[in-house]
Amino acid sequence: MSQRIVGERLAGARASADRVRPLIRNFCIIAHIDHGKTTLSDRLLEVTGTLATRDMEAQVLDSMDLERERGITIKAHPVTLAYRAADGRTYELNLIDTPGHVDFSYEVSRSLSACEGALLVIDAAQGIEAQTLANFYLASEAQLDIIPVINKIDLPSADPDSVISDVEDTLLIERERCIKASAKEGIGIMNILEAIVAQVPPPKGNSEHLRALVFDSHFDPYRGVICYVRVRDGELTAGTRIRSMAGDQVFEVLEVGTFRPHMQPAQKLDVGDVGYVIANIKAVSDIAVGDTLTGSDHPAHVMLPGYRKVTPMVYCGLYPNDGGDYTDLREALEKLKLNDASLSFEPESSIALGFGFRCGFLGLLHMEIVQERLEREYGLSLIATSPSVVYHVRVTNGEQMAIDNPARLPPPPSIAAIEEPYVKCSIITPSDYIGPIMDLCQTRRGTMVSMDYLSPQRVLFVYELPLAEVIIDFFDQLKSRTKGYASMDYELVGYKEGDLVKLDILLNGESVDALSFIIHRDKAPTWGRLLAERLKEVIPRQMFDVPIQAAIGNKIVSRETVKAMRKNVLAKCYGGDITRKRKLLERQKEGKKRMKQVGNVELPQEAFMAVLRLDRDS
Amino acid sequence: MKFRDEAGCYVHIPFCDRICPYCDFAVVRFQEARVKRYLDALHAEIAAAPSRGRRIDTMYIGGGTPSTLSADAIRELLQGLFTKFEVGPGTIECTLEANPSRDKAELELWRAAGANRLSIGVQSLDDQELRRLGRTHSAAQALEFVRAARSAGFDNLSLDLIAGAPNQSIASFDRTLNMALECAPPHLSVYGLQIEPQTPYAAWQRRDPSAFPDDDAVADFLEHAEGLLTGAGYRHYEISNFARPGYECAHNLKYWRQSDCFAFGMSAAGYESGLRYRNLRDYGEYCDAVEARRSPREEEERLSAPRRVGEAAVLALRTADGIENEDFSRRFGVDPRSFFADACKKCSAVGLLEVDELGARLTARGRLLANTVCAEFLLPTPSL
Repeated sequence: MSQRIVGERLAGARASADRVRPLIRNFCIIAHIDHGKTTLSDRLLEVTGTLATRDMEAQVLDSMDLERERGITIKAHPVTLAYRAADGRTYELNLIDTPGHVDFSYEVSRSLSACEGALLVIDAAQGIEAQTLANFYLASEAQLDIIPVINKIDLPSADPDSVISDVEDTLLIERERCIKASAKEGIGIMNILEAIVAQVPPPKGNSEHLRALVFDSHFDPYRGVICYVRVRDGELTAGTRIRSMAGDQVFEVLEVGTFRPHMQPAQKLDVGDVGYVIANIKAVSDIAVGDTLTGSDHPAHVMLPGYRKVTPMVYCGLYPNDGGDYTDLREALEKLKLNDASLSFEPESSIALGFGFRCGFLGLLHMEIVQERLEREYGLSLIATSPSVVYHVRVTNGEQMAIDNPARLPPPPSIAAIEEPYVKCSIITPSDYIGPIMDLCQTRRGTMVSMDYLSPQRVLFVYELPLAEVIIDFFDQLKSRTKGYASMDYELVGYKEGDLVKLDILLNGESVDALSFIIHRDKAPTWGRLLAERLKEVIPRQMFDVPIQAAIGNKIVSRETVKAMRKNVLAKCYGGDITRKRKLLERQKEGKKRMKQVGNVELPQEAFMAVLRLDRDS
Repeated sequence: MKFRDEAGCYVHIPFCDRICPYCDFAVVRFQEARVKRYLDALHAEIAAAPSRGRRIDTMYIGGGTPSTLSADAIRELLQGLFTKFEVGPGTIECTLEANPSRDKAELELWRAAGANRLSIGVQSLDDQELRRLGRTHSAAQALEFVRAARSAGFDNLSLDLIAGAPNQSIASFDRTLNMALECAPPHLSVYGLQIEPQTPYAAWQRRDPSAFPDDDAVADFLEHAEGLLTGAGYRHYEISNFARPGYECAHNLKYWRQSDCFAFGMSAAGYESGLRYRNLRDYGEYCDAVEARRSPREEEERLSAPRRVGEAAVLALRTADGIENEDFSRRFGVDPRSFFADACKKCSAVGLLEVDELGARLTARGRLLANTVCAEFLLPTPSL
């Protein structure tokens, strides 16, 4: 993150800015989850007449079903609001929505750098949360003008004044700048709009040498990739040839336009404008988020700062339950990839599961979303192996390897060292739960970096934790140990060596590669035992005893047995029972199809996720 | 010309003095008015049915509790059926299901009406277990009833017993079996208790699973019963049925042979030339339909040829004879050895099936795990 800050500051110190757009304001809304970002967006659209109330599906901007169900925004959709301000002039306010989850923090940073200002929405009852802080820091780094909005003041439990005091103390923003609002009740909305006009600086830029920041994109099956751009310098018009500076590809612009809120073609996009570009781009992976578009004929020399190649943090294997669906799975992944540049996949095979794909994700939520979309939208039945981070392994001959699949870990004698990724994790909690949180972080091999009281009732912890410990059940544990009050945010800080071993699971004496995972040596015996116990619960009884063993190398650390099934016969089968029995057996056979045959053992899908569901802690 | 067995005939009498807490059959509480309406409908249904010139050689009056009916009602019912199918009383197997709650005089009247086999709902010979099973009789009454049946002329009788009753132990189950053997019935049915959803037992089991012997314990019970009864000279001729030679239930064998069976009464299920059908399950709906001269059938399913073979295999596997190659070739024109090759291989490999040149049948372990075996045979991969 620190590299990014330096980059942004240098960019901010641009020498010449000969073009100012006094009637444009570019802003975004940032908030902790559930603090009311989407409701406020909807309200702004409504009061500026961008969308009549009757046209509004509740929460317009979150358009994917999954996003709506989870109450989070994954994709950012910009929209231009026309607002006639108190000064009598009509401004174009470009609202750039931002993803609301830590998995997408790079995307958030790109959206932020397309703006000059940010509304920081804080729940008047909940106060400052981890993502409030994380987003605030990101916005400050992007040098945005920040307007705090204390939302939900209509709630009986709201305490706006104390939240404002916290804002003053923690974020060092004067209390006068806080706007009290209730997006739901429409309170304070005009104040917010006026503050945007008054406080967010108008965009400035150089009129020559086009530079446009791609801050998001989506794939349209008929028109190809629609890039969401913010023009920094120069102008974008249809017919010009553009070059992506990081991707180094040339495209011809077919159409430019703005979102009002639907796509509306325009003559051009000028300095400071936010809109879209259609340029016959085939897949979103051809034009990375954070890339800079410039003119092909008169290119700029320096691209806009902050670009980063997105690398997945979490991997898992995805396998079709029915081997015959392999091609369908590949096609579905390809289609998702058209619209999701951060998803990566490549073919792999597992002894237990056959042919499938190793897929890389930005984080656990991203992983769950992709799995769910594959199952729901493409009707696939999948087996997902437990998630893994990327380990850096140095083998004895000095070679370095990146291992994202525990099954591929070289045999222990040939390993010189294993490094694992660490994250800096910020946790904000009511002070009542200090003990449980320290306990959780300690069992997850965390090191405390700092602990600060934001107020007498609220504590900010910063821990360094192995990412592998965070992706497995950490968030749920955090929530359950704090009655849901704690919030967290994390970012990758680097790799550290650890005493890590591979824990193998043997079923009926055969190692099941898809169940292996990498874990700290000290925790391996306990986790081995817990996993064996859990597997015993989820593996149905078979025709023979199935021993379950957890092993580190050749050493068995735990053993359980699923006893052979003894009886399943239906007692009665007379006239009236025959059809019923036949249907029951047919259903039973269907159920069997959903089981995965591994060796001669039939495993349900849950078995492969068992490691994720080890509710208890070691 | 296809080989055809004689058909059977099933009649459902839904009435019970008391509904047992484990029962999910189509039953209604006994009430004079309800009985009258039902019997009228039943007679009307029988009268309206085309007999199709088919002969029957078994009749089975099941329920519910047919023995709740008056002797007159039973006589009229049987008379109607004998007339309909043009068979003489006493010439065919005619089973009546009965609970041990009637006296000798009544039993003699049933016998005179043409019933010649009784299936008696004894369930247990332990009074505590009987109470928990919601039964209205005691062990002593059950034994007395069996004696009365014998003296009324019912030599061919069967006792129903339950394995896995709440809080039943192998010791109490063993006592029940031995007491039953002392009556020397020519036929015994031993049913592993099945907890059906939406019965009081299902709720009880949810509340207190430990009240019920688990599947492993019931497997022990059933193995014990098999040892004891076969040792006493009974043949384990079907998964839940034991008989002295010649006393197998001819009617029930028809089900397992996939033979035709006409069915009358609410919820009754029949099979005629590849068509499975079932009457309306609800008392009121059934009576309404018949009174309005509508068909009381609720569902019909014509089995495709491969389904028929698969089903025939599943049914045959329940019996000691199992799938007989020659019989299947004759009935369906397929060789079971190739038609069920995969299933045979898979099930014999894990010791559930015994395969030889005559055919395939369940092993002792296979009888307890019949669902696993049957699922393999139900939908064989090759098509006809």
